[in-house]
Parts: sequence; structure tokens; C-alpha cells
Amino acid sequence: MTGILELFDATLALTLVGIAVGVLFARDLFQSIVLFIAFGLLLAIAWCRLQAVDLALAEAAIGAGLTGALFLNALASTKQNSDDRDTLNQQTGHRPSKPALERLPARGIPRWAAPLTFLLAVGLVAAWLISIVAPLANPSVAPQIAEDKGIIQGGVTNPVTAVLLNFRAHDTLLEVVVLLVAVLATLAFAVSTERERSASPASPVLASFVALIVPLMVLVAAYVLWIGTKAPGGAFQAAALLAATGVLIMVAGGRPPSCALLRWRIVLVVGLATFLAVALGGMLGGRFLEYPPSWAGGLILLIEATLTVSIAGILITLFGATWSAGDPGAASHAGDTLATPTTDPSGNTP
Amino acid sequence: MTIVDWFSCGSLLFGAFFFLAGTVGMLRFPDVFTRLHALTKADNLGLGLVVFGLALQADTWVVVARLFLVWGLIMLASTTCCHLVAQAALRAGISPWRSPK
Repeated sequence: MTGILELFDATLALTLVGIAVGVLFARDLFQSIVLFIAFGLLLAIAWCRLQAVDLALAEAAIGAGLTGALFLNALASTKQNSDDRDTLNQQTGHRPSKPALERLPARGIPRWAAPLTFLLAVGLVAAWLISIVAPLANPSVAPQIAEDKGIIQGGVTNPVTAVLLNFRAHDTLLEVVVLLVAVLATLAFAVSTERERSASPASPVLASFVALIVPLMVLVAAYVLWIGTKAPGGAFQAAALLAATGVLIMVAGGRPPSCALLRWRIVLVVGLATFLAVALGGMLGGRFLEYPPSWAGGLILLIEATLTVSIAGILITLFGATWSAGDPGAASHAGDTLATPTTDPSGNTP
Repeated sequence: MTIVDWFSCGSLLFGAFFFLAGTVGMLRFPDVFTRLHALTKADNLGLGLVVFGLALQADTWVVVARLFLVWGLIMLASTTCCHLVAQAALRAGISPWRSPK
């Protein structure tokens, strides 16, 4: 039996390298992106084979799913922008109205803004993924975990969560800061890209699928967050699920949330704020980021819950920054419409 | 091997055959619509048989329920994706393939 498993592993590894080469040398960008998503899914299987289920979950949800969606989105919006510019050069009329967030002078948007937005978003998400891996590879925490035998001191029994939120909480804290900076930078460069509404009216099949799947995804996200204290799962995986839910809603016709809304801004920062508050609170009795051992479990769950909300919000904002399928005029005060996908009964039957 | 193991094995192999057929179909069929047909067959029946084979080996009913839940969700997702791809193809002006004869 081991022979068969080794054959499987070898095939998996070779396929991964093959697809990676395919991503680099594909004929067009769209093909590259599709191959990249396939690469991420196979990589998740590879992580499973290496017994790193936490990473497999993160890779499948963020590496393949959300990053793939960001790539496709960026590709579409760069195309759209160059098309817009072509028509704009011919007629000297003004650009269509923009959401309040992006009230930049139209002529002030340089040509490289959209590709740069795309690079920033993708690069920072990638950096974030790498920094999840980095603390796991650091051998210095391993003896500490081994000594504790079940991470009682760490407050949780899933060693990965204990490392991420207790022993190496510095890394996680800074990752969240990086994500927040990524959103700010993306929003600063975000170019409003109203697409032709007629080009992609929401499908009734998609709308009913989303209506069915969204409550389930939220439930699973909550489960993944809760189970993260004792089994593979946790804030990042749960946040990725929530963000995927948000992306689905936007694809089905829901409008992206507007950062002009105070409550959406609170969503974005609540995780970091809670994390910082707990970290500073630890200074009362000990050092920065040191939890009282008896409270560690509860505090970690609190931090993880708020981090889930914030990271999901951040990922949704990254996706929404270049995605606006909704009515352009109403986009400026549409933060709460994310919860209700607009199904357009007219003009959606083929 | 017990009789359950034989059933399980047969179901898994039959499921694998559907995946193989789906893959061959995707590579050999003439247009996007027929390829979608081949792919969704693999998702629905192939995965269903694999899930059935695995469910026979499960220790608890919770695992069985989860396996079938996964199957149901993937059928929902693959049906929706199939519809969306086909709709996009139609909108892009691709007309369904017809036999040349």
C-alpha cells in the first residue's frame, strides 16, 4: 500500500510543477489564472498529504478560491478600463458617475493604477499567506509545544492555533496590520469600474443557489472558527469562508460594501483593535501579548472571532474595490445591501 | 474481505470510471456544451458512487451524513456552475454543436 501512496505523491508533486510551468507560459492571462486556481487546489491536497490540514484549508479557500477571484476580477477590470479609455479618447464627454468613495478627478487616474492595485492586492495576500507558513517552520517553538503536551499553557489544544495566537502572536498581529494596509492602499488606488449592467444580469439559478448556500457557509464558517481551538480550523479559514460568501453575493448581483460607511470601517478594524487591546491588557500583569494562563482559551477565542469578522471584511473589500456590478448611482450608500442579493427578475432569462 | 468491502470497492471503481469517462469527454467532445455534460456527469454520478463506497466504510452515521452532505453540495455547485458557463457561452454567441451529417 505504501507503494501506491508514494506513486500518488510523486504524481501530485510532478503535476504541481507541471501546472506551475503552465501558469508561467500559458498563452493568455485567463488561461494562466485558471491553471493557477487548479494549482492551488492541488497544493491543498499536497498539504493534506503532509498532514498540514490547517494550511490545506487556507490554501484551498484563499490561495485558490479568493486569490483566483481577485485575479479574474483584476483581469476583467483592466480590460474594462482600457476599453473605457479608448472610447473616452474618441468622445470628450465626462466619465460615468462614481461611488462617493472614488470621487477622484477622472483625468487624474493614471494608466498604471489598475494593474498596480491588482499587484498590491495579490502581493499582500501572498505575503500574508507566506507569513502564516513562516512561524510553523520556525523550530524554536517546537520544544515549547512538545513540553506542554496538549498546549494547556497555550489555552487551546490545536497546536497551530496555539502557535498563531499565543506563542507567535506577534506574527499574526502584524499580518492583520499588513492586511489592513493592503486594503487602504487598494482603496487609495481603486478605480471605479462600472460594468455594463446588460452584460451580466444575475441568473435566477445563481440567485437561488446563493440564497441556499449563504446561510450554510456562514454556519460552516462559525463551526470552523469554533473548532479551530482543538482541531484544524481557525480565524483565517473561517474568514476566508465568510469572504467567499461575500464574493458569491457580489457575483450574484449584491453591491460591494462601501468604506464610506462607519459601520463597515468598524468591521474592518475590530479584529486588530481587539487583538491590540488584549495584547496591551497583558502588559498589566506581564508583558506585551502575554495572556494570563487561566484566561488564554477565552481570550484567544475572542481574538479569533473578531479577527474572523475583520479579515473577512478586508478580503471582501479587496474584491469589491474593483467589482461593481450594481447600479452605479446607488453604489455610494450600499453598504448594507451586501446582505441581500438583488435578484433582477427582468431580463435574466436567456 | 467481507461482502461490504466488495460492494465498497466496486462502487469506488465504478465511480472512478465515471471520472475517467468525464475527463475523456472533456478532452474529446466537440464544444463547450457537450463538455459540460461530460463534466457534470462525473460530478454527479462519479462522486455519488465514490461517496457511497466511502460511506460503507464509515465508522459512524455522522461521517455518512457528512459524506452525503458533501455530495449534495457539490451537485448544487456543479449544476449552478454548469448553467452559468453554458449561459455565458450562449451570450458569447457560441451555438451548440450539431452533427455534421
